[in-house]
Amino acid sequence: MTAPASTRPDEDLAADVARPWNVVLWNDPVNLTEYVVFVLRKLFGHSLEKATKLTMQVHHGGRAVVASGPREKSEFDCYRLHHHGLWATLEK
Amino acid sequence: MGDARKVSDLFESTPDGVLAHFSDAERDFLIQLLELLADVGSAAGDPAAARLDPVVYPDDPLAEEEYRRLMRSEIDEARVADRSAYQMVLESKGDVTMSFPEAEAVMRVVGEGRLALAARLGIRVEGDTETLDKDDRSALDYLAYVQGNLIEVLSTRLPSI
Repeated sequence: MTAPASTRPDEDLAADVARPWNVVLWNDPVNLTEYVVFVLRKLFGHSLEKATKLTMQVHHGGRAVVASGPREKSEFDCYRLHHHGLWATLEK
Repeated sequence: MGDARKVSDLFESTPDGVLAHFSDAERDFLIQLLELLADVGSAAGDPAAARLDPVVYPDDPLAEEEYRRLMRSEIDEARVADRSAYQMVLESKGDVTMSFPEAEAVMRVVGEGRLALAARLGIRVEGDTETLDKDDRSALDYLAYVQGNLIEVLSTRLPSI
């Protein structure tokens, strides 16, 4: 048994739980630019323009947040990107 | 990220799917990717395994372990399905019409094969391909050509937004 908590969870913790997870796509030297654009359009329904912008952000800046949301959905997004050979991680 | 060659004589979009015209030499080369992919992860520290299954939670080993536990079978099943479709297409004699999902599976397997090959050849950053010998470079370029052509055909099916 544990003693009752003497304080309520602090606001930082509550805010952390509510914060969405970001799906981060990383640059790699092998995947074709047009393949990354295709996958982002197909998986996330992005327009050609948005998918191209994100792909260029990854290519030149090394990374981009391509989706965000609750943990389970973000894990599924990560899985789908990995299934397509893209390098993705999760972060808050 | 590199660029695909813009020649498009390998695939044709038809109402039923994608018609592929592979030569026997192309089939012989492409079918070898299945052997390469089946071997990924068979040796400890295989860079191809790390590349095909990137860590999802780099700073949280427990969350990573949980993710692997939950998703392992799903990842494996998706790959088995893709590779079966790939094998079926490449073992067909003559021109073969792939359904659109089959064409996507072929596109993914070619991409995975390219990633695995590049990882084992030590390609880590842009420019590393410059140091490859001619044969290795031709193999990666040819796979890029196949994948690029398929992307071109399959992109026409995405909503034009």
